[in-house]
Amino acid sequence: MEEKNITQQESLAIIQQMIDKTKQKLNDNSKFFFLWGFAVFICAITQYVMLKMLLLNTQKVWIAMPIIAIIHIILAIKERKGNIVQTHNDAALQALWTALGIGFIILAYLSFTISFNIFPFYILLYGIGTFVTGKIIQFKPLTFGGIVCFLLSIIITYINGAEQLLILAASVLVSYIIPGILLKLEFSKQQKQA
Amino acid sequence: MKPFTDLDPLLHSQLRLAIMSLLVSVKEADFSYLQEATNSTNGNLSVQISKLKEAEYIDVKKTFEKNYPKTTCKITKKGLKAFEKYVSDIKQYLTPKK
Repeated sequence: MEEKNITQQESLAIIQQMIDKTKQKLNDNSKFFFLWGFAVFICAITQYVMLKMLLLNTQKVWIAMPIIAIIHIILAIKERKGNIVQTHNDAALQALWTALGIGFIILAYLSFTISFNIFPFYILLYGIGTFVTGKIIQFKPLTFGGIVCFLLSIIITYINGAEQLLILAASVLVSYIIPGILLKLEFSKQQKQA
Repeated sequence: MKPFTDLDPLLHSQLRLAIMSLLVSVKEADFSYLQEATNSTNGNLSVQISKLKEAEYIDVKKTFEKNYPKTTCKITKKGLKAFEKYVSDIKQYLTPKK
């Protein structure tokens, strides 16, 4: 692009062209969905199997979560350094997931201080996160996963015992893992087209 | 075609307008992103960024990453206002007078 006199039509064309360049820039956020999706899925299924085998201290499987949080922070810092542009959508998503992350930590803390079943609330937060993310990046599988989570957060309260863990595993499967795979495929498709 | 004497001269330039249009749509952008998107040369882009910075239309942050300088640009409120005015001025030129 050089410096030269431009007409009003050319001006509008430049504005349109540049705004189009920043649109439809789908970021590959799938790794974070895989990280948390698989971590929660594996922990829930493991605890379920342990309970069925009548093992004790099954809740210890969740010790893995702080480790996953550290891996997440490392990945996020690395990604941020490599980014050459931050869109308003990126900033909104960052704020949303930071708030939810704080919510997850507070809920975990509260479950120790005032004993209550944490699962419906976690599933509800998964739903809020994926529903809003889906709306922001205009990716329907995430929004759909969010809606399923809203329903599962109610359904789980009618289920007793170890089977609640299967509902938890199902919630991350529909809201994180499956949409994560589809997001990855969509991103690869977009990269090939570019 | 009539010359555009009353359009903001800072914005009525191909590259500066392109930079501003990009920065209107994103929160912040790296020098390399702007260069790639506008397909401009290093020198020319630097000059135009400096002009926009002098007019306080954009904020320029210089940092170091892995020993390499990194320049991040962000539109200011003044810049956004000027851009909006420029777009509405241009619209008046394009709308046929009754």
